[in-house]
Amino acid sequence: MVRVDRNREGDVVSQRDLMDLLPVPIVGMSMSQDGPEDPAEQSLHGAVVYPNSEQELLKVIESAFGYRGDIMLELKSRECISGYLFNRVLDGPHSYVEMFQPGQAGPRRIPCHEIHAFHFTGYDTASGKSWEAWVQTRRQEK
Amino acid sequence: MAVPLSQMLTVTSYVFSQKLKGVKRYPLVLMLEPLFRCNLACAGCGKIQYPEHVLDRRLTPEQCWAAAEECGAPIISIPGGEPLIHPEMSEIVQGLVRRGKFVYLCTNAILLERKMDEYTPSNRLIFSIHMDGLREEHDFAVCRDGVYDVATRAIKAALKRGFRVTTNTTLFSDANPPRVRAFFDEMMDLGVEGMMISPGYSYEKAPDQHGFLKRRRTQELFAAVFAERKRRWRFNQSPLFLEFLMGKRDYQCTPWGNPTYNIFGWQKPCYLLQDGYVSSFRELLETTAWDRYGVGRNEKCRDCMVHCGFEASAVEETFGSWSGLTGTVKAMLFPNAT
Repeated sequence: MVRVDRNREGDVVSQRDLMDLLPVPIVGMSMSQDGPEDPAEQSLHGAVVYPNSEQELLKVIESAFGYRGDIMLELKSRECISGYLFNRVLDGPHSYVEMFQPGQAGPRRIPCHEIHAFHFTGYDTASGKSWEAWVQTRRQEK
Repeated sequence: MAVPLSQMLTVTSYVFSQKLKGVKRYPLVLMLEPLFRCNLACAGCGKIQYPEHVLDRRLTPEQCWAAAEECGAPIISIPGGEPLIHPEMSEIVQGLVRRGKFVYLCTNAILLERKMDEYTPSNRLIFSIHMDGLREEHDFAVCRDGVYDVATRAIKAALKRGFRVTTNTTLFSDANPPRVRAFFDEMMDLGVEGMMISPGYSYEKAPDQHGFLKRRRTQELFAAVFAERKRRWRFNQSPLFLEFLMGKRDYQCTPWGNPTYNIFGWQKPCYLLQDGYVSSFRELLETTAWDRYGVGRNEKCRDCMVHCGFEASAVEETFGSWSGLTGTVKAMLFPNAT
């Protein structure tokens, strides 16, 4: 069982089954108790996930990799790294993720076994309503 | 003929040299994405949804040239993002042309008239203008009114200055064949060298998730669009790929044919799917599990018929067998033969 501390509204949604919480791709996930019913319109934004096993860790990494917003990694050393997770290489004990941090020229590589928690802090840029808004505008014009 | 002889000869000699060397997987077109920032937010695009600090990142000219040399493909396509936003784009293009590459600069043309002075006409530089149909369809697809008129004005200006100009068009499920045919007429009237056309790919991250074509519907649509094909329509792509779109041929995807390099590195496995990144082209070729991708192998590939996966398959058939070569000649000379 994975621990999830809060969603974007600050509601506690802890102790939910990881398999329910982290489908891949991540856009299909429900974190908000009063959010949209269509899974495609739901996002991880605001969630904090603490994986408790290697299997859970891999699943959360896959979801973070598909997330189009910044995240904050909380390491076991208590260091926190914020940025965009754009890559993951899963190769047993040598597995790592790569992040672009704001203001840093190159990517930073973080071994997976050092990760304690995932904070989905940044707005999910792929969860917008731009298309619906545009269609609505065109309909009103006609 | 839509593609100049010099370009055809370059591609032909490149393919034969790869075959003589016994190279099993070789790239035809490098998809070079120097930035993801765009001045439009098109409904069917899944390329630009990133945090601001990622959109601010750009490849340097040196990185672009190194990728082109490492990859070795004779053709470089520069999509994005909108390439003309990149302040060093003309330098990047110049360096690629100097290296003997044919460069397709894919642009929505909003900035083209303003930036045109930075470029020199060359038979190796092609402005590939994003046009998704006639005025109504195009402005709807790019989610901004007036873009069609800006683009057509830029096309005329570029042609007048002696540039090679083509169009690239993505068709979605709401495409109307008579309107698409009228669009072909209009582009030919403008005087473009040729047109490129492809069905849209259903990006998971695209805002409009309802407009993407399924495989059968794609074949029906393109069969209707190309029925009684007019002689005056010129297409800047393989004739066998057009037959594939119409359902006359069946291909498996060739994802390594159009490898992608961007600010994250070399993208696995193709231009459309993002399954991770590696730091070198060689690593891309050697470490990608290619047999996990393609129609019937991967759910995400099920309905894909996009040019970046199948154009290389068509070219491979052309140069891989006598039947492919004769089929290509036949398709060029008698496009309406059943």
